[in-house]
Amino acid sequence: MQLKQTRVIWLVLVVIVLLPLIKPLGLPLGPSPETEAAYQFIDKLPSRSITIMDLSIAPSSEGELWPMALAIGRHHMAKGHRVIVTTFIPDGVMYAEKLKEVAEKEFGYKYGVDILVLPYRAGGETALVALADNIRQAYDRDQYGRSLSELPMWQDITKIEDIALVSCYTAGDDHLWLARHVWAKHKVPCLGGVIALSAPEAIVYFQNGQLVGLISGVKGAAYYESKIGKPGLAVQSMDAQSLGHAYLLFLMIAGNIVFWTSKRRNLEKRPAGGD
Amino acid sequence: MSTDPKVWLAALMSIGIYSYLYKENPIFRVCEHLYLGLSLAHLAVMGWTNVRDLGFKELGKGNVLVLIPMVLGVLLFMRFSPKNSWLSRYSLAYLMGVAGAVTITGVIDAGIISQIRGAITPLTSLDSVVALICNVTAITVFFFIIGSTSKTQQGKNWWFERLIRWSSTVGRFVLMISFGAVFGTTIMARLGLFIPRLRFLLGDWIHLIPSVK
Amino acid sequence: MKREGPIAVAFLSGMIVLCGYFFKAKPIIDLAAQIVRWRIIVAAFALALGGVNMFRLHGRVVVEKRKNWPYSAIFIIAFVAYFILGVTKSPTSAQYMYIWQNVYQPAASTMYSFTLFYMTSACWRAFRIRNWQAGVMMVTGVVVLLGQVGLGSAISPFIPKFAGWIVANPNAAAIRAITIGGSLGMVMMSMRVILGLERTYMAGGND
Repeated sequence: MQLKQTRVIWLVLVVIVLLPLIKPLGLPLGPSPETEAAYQFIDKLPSRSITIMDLSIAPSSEGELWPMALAIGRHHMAKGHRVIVTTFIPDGVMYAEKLKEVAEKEFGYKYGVDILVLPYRAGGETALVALADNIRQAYDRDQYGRSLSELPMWQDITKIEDIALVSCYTAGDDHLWLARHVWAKHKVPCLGGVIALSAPEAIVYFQNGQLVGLISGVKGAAYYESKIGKPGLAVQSMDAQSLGHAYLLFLMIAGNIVFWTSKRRNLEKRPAGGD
Repeated sequence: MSTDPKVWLAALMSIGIYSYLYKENPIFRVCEHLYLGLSLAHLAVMGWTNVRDLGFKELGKGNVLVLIPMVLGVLLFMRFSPKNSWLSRYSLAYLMGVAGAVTITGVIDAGIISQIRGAITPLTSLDSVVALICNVTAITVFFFIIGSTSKTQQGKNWWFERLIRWSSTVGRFVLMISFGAVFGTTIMARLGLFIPRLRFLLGDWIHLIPSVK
Repeated sequence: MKREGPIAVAFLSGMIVLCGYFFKAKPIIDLAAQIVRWRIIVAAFALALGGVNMFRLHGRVVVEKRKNWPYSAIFIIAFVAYFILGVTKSPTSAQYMYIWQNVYQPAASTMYSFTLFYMTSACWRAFRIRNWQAGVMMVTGVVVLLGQVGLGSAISPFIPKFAGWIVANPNAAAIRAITIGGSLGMVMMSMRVILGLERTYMAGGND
């Protein structure tokens, strides 16, 4: 009986999430001051500024992080910023490739001149410290084994202070590492792109000024997509997110009503004097 | 419906995994073991690229010192030898020692000083007063020594201890608000995983939903 | 040597990195940077640990033809073939990426998306308001939940504003308290590791 009930609950979930994907409802997005701050900061960066994008994205967080990385990448490219893509998780390499492809196909970016892919480095926080403290010693070859000294873009980078913005897209702690080792030590502006779950924690780093902007979850990504005028994966998801949230909220409330009603009924049934 | 074999391959993998939601079955187990093999191989490959670039290539250039971390790396695998597993402690000690030091250098500023500085704001608005009260009361929740003494030890600091206890009760309320906020964002994260799969299966594969790039 | 040696390694490596941060002498800074970079190599070796361990376990199952051994064979074939492909070609080669994008990525995303279904079941069966603390958590959760999505704005523009206020004020204050406490704990624990007082990482070996 319980198994049947579970399957019905799941089936309704699938239908409810699916409907707005077929026919969007066009619900409003709502404000997002942290995302707005991120947009404003990037928008004001001069053309040809060099930025680092740490794409620590994995299939487990792709749904939230890839749309925001893509939107910010597109914003950088539309403004003519030079982008260094790197990652501190093994799966990130694949997303770096995807972003490079977007840069080359959509914006005509030239590899080595406008965009550069640094290889994955193991060690997490330690690897980021190595990058922040001495980027030239930390890397001597790019993702494809080419010597970095041969690439024109690399000539303009001698230290982390040459970077105008370091942003990360992570389901882990990369935004905290940036605040610890890039902002605290080198005062290079940092931006966090995090999954919605990390937002309540990451907000204090934004409030303290350790992060110049904070983009959280699909909502942040959708807001950014609409700001750059290119609605994409996140905007398309938002209506489905709305209905999905409403359904789960309904289940929570209904579950509690059933729970309290049955509890009261049990109390009424219990004979007087019993415990 | 898509005619691209790539899309079909990905769709069959997805459906194979989702079949577990009905009940455990051989197709799911095949997909599961395939996924496990690929994911661990991918980790090993990425590890290899690091060892190759930072280890062997450096060694080729005559940097003999790089043998130190490479030997430590190899010692990690001694864990699988019951007789010599203690050797892997050297590698773990190195990993832990450096990670500990890196943590200390990072969190003192970003996790302690900056947070205290961020909490001290001019009390010019209701929000800042609320934030201050919430901050102080939430911190007192973690005062495990003060306010937890038994009744027989009470006396000298009775009022102070009572104040801390009252404050930590309010602090628990504040923490619950924070946990509620975290909970509120959890659903978005979970839906954020499911919606792209649905979009792939019913969009890229069946073409029921318009595709977005 | 079984205990003292590793403690000395943790102490020396940790202390040199700490000295490189606090003292501005170039030789120490360079040595600290070198030790940090070396850790990347050791961590890279560690990435293969899980794979090697699983390979041993499944290998034994296949050799001894235990129950469900064909699944273990699938694991071994996938692991070995993909590893060889990655090492001989490159992780960004067309063949490697083809498998990653069309087999690994869909499987991984689908596997993780299971959590939504379990959460849906939990919403119906487990999230009960049994006391005032759960009540506060639930009410805040509902407001933030609605504020996250367009539905909240559609009901009332006040909801996302209130949700934003909760996240930016009481929540941020609580998170600050947790962060300060957690950071102090991290510093303390790290110092214990460096000074050799924390030795749990040594568990597992003989003696």
